[in-house]
Amino acid sequence: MIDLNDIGRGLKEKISKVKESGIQRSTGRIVYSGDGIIKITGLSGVQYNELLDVRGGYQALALNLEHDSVGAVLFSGEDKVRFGDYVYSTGTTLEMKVGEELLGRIVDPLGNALDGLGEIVTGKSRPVEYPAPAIMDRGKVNKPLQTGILAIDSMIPIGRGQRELIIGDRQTGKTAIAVDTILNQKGENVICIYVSIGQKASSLAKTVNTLRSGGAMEYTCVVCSTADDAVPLQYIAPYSGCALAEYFMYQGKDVLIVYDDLSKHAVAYRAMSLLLKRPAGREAYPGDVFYLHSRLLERSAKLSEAKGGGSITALPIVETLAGDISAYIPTNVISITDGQIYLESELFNSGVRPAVNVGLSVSRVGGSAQRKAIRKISGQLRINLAQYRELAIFMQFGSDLDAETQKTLSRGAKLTDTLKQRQYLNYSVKEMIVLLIVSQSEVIDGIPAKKVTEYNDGLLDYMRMNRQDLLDAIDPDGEISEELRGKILAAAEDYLNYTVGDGEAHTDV
Amino acid sequence: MIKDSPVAKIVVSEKPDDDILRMVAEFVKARGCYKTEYIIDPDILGGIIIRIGDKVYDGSVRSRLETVRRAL
Repeated sequence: MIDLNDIGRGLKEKISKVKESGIQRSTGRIVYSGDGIIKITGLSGVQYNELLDVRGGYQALALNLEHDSVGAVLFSGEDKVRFGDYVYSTGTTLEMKVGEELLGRIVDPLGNALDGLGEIVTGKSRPVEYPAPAIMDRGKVNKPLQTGILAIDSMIPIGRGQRELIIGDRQTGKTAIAVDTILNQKGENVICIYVSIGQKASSLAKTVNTLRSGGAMEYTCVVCSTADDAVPLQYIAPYSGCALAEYFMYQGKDVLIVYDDLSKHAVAYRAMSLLLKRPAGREAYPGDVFYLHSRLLERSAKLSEAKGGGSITALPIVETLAGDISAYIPTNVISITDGQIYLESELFNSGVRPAVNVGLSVSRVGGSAQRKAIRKISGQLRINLAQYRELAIFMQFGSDLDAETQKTLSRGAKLTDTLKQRQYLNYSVKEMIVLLIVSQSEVIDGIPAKKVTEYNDGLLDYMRMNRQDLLDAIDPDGEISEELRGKILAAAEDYLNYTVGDGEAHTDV
Repeated sequence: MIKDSPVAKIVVSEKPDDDILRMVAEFVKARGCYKTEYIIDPDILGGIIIRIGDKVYDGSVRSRLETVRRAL
């Protein structure tokens, strides 16, 4: 039986805690409204980025403070506000709801639920725009963030607190890499935030379903603005997501945030700026489009131990047109981030998936965070692949090749095949070590061409079922002894003989 | 100076008594305003809203309830 007095007391207590903003407010009246932009006269004392209340319960954001009017963007109700309506200042800037309650939920950039699972009540919020951690508050990136993707974790390692750009044309698997990375954080104690900016609702639904069926929603929050949302919502979405990430980071937790994607964010900001009549610059983007992304990505950081040691790892995504990474927004974001994963449609279409261009992809800080064993055995990988590609160009002329060259070519092709990986099939660190050791040994010569991926999948199954002792013996943070290496190769050889038999194993070279 | 003074628009829920009139006159004079205009609007439920130029002093019951509604 619920006691009515209890409810009454609870309510009283809550009401007594309500902060009143004070009775003095500044007002203005709408003198222009169009395309979601309003101009307001009056409103003396209004701040930049201040939240405004428009009569009728709508909210707007003051962005242009001019001589005799204030330009603001409406979050909703652009067809409802009327000429002459009163607008009130609130004295606060935009805030995003934060809290553990948001994990597993899909929210709009203001923290309101969009998944129909009920209202989210956290009682906590953080300003959407917030200064990045100061220099002295930052620590060194020293812990890896495993993506579970062999090509990335071996050659373009990402550390916790790093900002690694995923860049490529449409349909090259950019989102797939980000989603795979989120899926791989299961049990890694990393909170994930997926921010969708101006995405198609259909592709977002697909992503959410993938996360849900992969069991990743437990530690993930999706902050979403779709293509039909008001432009200002798309504009604030990444900052809101970042505010939520900061909430966890300042508690000392590790956070992974995906911004999908920043080119659409720049387009939304351009639309807003042009409608606000700000001067247009290159490609009609406003002058501060660089600052738009730099201030967002600077908020990703690894905090020093004194500050709790939390981190925000950012994976911003940028879509290029026809592979042009020297366009305005791509070059901007490349220069802000600590490296990029460059995806190519040519590779994607020729079956190399993930379509990572190893030559153009770099990680500027992740190397020091890479697991020791992986760093050791993948050191030669990049060079080997580069040599292979160089030779492969000559091969196209079809001239007779000596045995040594043919061997390099066949090994290179198999190495490339080893780096192919099906979507949603993440490797653990130990599995990666096995694959890397095998791919750089004589064993790989025995695998028939075009069968490498199949062999690798089978080998890992075989190891898990029959040679778990070897997997257990691998220490990712230590040295791989010659003895262990030999045992792993012997197991790989065993499996090879088991699958292909001796007869056909050497026929392909 | 009095001629150029802005008009203070005052919204109350019911006809104000002399005490309130005197207090309001003092309040607005302190803010350089000498003319007042009263509007009776029961919708504000009680309290008073004083509007001078683009400044609003909103002490209405309606807006305070609104604050509570948002916070809960």
